Amino acid sequence: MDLDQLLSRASGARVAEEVRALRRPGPIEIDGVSSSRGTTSSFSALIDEDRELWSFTLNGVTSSFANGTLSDADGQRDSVTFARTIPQLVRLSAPDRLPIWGRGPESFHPILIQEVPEGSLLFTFEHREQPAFRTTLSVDRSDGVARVLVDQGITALVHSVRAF
Amino acid sequence: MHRRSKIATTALIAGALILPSSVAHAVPTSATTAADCLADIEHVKDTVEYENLTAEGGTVGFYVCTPDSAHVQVERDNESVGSVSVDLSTDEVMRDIELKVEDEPGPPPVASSPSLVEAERSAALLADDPSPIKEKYRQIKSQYTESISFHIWYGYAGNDYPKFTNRIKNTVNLNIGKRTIQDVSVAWTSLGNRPVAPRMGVRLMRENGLFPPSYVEQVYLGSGTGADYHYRTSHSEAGTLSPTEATNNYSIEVSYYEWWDQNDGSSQKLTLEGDMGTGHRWLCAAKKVCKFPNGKEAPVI
Repeated sequence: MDLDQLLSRASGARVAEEVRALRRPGPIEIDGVSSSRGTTSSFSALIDEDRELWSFTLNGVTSSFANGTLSDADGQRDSVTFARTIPQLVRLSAPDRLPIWGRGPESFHPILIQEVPEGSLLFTFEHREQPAFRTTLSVDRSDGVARVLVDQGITALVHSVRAF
Repeated sequence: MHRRSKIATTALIAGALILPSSVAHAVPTSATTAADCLADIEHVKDTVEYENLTAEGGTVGFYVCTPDSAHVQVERDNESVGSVSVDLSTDEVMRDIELKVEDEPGPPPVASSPSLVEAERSAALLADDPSPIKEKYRQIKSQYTESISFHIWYGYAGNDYPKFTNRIKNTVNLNIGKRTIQDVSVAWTSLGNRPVAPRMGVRLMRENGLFPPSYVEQVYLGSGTGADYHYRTSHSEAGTLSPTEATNNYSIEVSYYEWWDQNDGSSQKLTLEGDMGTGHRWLCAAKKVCKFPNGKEAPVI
């Protein structure tokens, strides 16, 4: 991991792979709080990539994907795929799945990685059309799970991580 | 307010050689008929870049017109030597153009398709059709539906200019009357009756208020997949887009377009990367279906 140096967009995919390598195999469950448009909510999420399933509960309302079927407030659909349906907050368990690493058409790409206290890596991402538009993400080195996401649309804090 | 800039890169790809980018020019016109497309190609031929490419001999190979741009592939001895493009938008946004040339096996032909000769005859008639068609528009049709339409003109010149020309009408229909996964479909018609196999990329973008939108995901639709993938004169295909946040504003853009055409018996793929069409912002709010509020575009913030 290239710390404390400016990164080019071309290095984004490699950085994402390095973040993925931090993760442990097996299901991961997280709890946290998020704030979006002035509303603060608690959430919990479970992801099992091997079995291609996820479950997400936000303010007591649960949606899930299992056995190739998405179940949410709109009912059930089987014409969708695991990878494309994972909600953003669930992706905090697998932060390399967030669309911010400069891969292909992704608007954001990492420009800086810093070590911060308590064993986390702080990533700063820049929007390719407006460099002043930035997103930050902290990832715990010990498990590869995100702990903080500060984004234009949402701010999220993960306070509990359980690996199985 | 920041509004998405025109896509900075528009690439025309026709058949395995990848060539360096050329300089783009802005000229005050745009194609509204096939005849206008040919006129736009003349703008390309007036450029220094075109003259440089043809200084040691060379002729127009494939050419493509979109509502905002015109592209010419220059070939010598039936090999591509480069490409030149002009930006036809009035805001004079400059584009960097990349042209690739490659022969591809392409999808299998359809037995019932009209012969190429017949198709070329139809296309020639199309080229003479002066009817002004508004070839690119977007329309909110209800609180939950929107359509984006755009035309692609293209042809091949070789030593006989134009050897053929064709126009593909494309429509993207969005249905956002869901809380999470939204429906999108595309339909296309080869107006010159020439059998083609288009595929387009529809991107879901998250709106970010005063900042530029950001990419969420993309779906490719157009000519079907697997055994369903054939040359046709018209087709439609449905898919989905997956906003990953329950509360936000989104929009779509058609940012990628590729199509296969059988020219002189070989299948060739042409590709455009750029802003073929951008939809209106819609609103997704917690525990509610997404919508265009009151049938209008959602506010910036």
